[in-house]
Amino acid sequence: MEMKIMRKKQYLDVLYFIVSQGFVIAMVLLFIVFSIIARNFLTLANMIRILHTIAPLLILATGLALVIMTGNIDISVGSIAFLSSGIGIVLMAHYNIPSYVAVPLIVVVGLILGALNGFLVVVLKVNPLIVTLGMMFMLRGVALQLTNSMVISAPKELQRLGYAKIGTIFIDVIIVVIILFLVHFFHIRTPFGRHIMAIGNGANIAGWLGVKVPKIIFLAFVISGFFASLGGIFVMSQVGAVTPTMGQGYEFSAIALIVIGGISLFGGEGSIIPGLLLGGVTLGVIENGLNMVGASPYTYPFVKGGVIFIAMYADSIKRVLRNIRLKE
Amino acid sequence: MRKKKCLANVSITKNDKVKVFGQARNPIVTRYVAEMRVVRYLPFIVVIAILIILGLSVPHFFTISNIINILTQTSALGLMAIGLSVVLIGGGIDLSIPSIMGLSGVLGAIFMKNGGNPVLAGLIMLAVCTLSGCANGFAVGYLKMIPFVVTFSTMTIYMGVSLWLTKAVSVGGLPRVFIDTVLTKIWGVPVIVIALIFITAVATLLMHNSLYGRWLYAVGMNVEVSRVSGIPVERVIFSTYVISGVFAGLAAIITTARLGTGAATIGREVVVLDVVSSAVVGGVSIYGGVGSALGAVIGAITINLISNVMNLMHVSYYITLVTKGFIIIAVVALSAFRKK
Repeated sequence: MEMKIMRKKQYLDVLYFIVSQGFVIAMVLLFIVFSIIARNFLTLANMIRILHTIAPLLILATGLALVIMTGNIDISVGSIAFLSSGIGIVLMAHYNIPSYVAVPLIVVVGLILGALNGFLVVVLKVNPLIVTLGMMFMLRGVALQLTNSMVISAPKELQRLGYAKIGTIFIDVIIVVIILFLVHFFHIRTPFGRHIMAIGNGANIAGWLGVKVPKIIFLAFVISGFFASLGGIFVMSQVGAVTPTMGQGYEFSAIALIVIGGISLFGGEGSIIPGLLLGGVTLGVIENGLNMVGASPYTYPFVKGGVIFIAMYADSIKRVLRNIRLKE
Repeated sequence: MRKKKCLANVSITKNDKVKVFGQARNPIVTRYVAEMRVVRYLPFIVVIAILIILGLSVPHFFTISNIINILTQTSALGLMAIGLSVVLIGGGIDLSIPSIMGLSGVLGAIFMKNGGNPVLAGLIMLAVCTLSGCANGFAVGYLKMIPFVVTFSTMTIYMGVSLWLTKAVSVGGLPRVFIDTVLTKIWGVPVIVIALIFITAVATLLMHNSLYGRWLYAVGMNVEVSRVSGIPVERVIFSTYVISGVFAGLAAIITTARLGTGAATIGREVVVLDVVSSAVVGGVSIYGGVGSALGAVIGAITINLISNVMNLMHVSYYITLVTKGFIIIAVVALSAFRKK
């Protein structure tokens, strides 16, 4: 009898390990497959390129990850990125405002838009999904009206920033890694970070224990707006322009990255490092690998959707398994 | 001892009665009730206001042909809104409805372009949508995944597949039989308008009077209580997504016939906004358990009228986006305010 229970427990442990570490395993497999099929895949230059391509999205997802950890959602991040850099680029291109003034302004716009989301969610108590869904279209509409839905190119110094290197590594990759470490520290070492996790695990109980739930959620949305606009700046510097389709589908890619990184969409679970970083690298490897193998670009959304679906399923199973383990 | 208990009970019931009676006359409560009524009839008031503005500014607005015209334009959106309202009442959300419509429209058009039978093509469209709805429903109902993220990711998948199949080019050359059949008129009234009215009536009646309807509202109000009372919660949630899939299929047939082409773009993201705002403006609660099919269709008519008014006033498309985004947030904010 005891043997049976022991074996069942072992089986559960193995299953839990596979589900929780599934994406590390999947990434290793993907890595091997892509390295065999595509000759140029496993080179240092390509690895750096993967990090370079995923860098803006990683920044954008950092803020969103904090919102998701509180158990809320923000799908307006792509549009915030678009509108804030749209405002910046119009100022730079049409009003000849120097970039060292315009770039901080972009970040300020991001903060304001994040605060607007937070205000609607926390003060007016509107469902976060509906708020950010409405915002997603509203902000995109404003930005398209502002830029007249035209491609506006960025000033030279910003374009240079997107491809500047220190040694062999792109500057934006270094910045992203520094930011990730800072947010990680912020997340696990400060009361604010702990409060976010507490709210995600149960807002009511956190409130009873003295966590200022509305304030923390509001701040999480503000931070999300901040990182969204920062991500927008990185996209702008890499592309060298603001295009009418900028930021479209970013919210989806960011959610994919977050789920792959093991941050639960139910809130209160996950980490910036290694979670989010690993998610970003996995997504980057998938996209880069598909490109290297020569798959049609139309397959990307399909594959990405499939990946997020599987990751979410693993997340659900993980919860069920953990409950079973806790019971025993 | 026993007597005492009895007495105590009686006195409590008496107190309760007094309290209830007192509450009904409380001015604050009366105002609260009045507010609720205003919010509930808001979409109707908005529709009437828009109708009056249009009636005064546009000549020949209140003619039967124009009204039929508006209903024809609304038919696809209205059907999708009914589908979404079923899901919302059951406590979920379905963002993938337009992309399902796009996918099945594309598949049907490809089938017909290669010489397929139009009737069979219609059935294929319905089947594709039903299957896609099943996939959503299975994930949400049985695998217990979050409805919003499930349908958000399937939205991307279906959209991606239809773009992949068509290479982002619309599929033309549909047989005339298909288009003519769907757009037939009976005594000057298009079949789609009759279908919309009929389906709305049936859906509203079924949702309010059948056992399934009761289950639906109960699940949307409280899943745990419904489960304890013996309602097959998983099956009900699963069925809501299948129903919304079927309605997406009907909308696909109508839209494909009206445009004369199958294109991935008919399921583009803006349509998601239209569908969700139709349901929300029509008084369907995003928290589940409240709303009706009739309300959703009236919401769809409102959204369609707003688009038309903006079009007539030569407002740019982007400002229309802003307005629609604003409307959806405002309506939900109002209902949240009512709750408080």
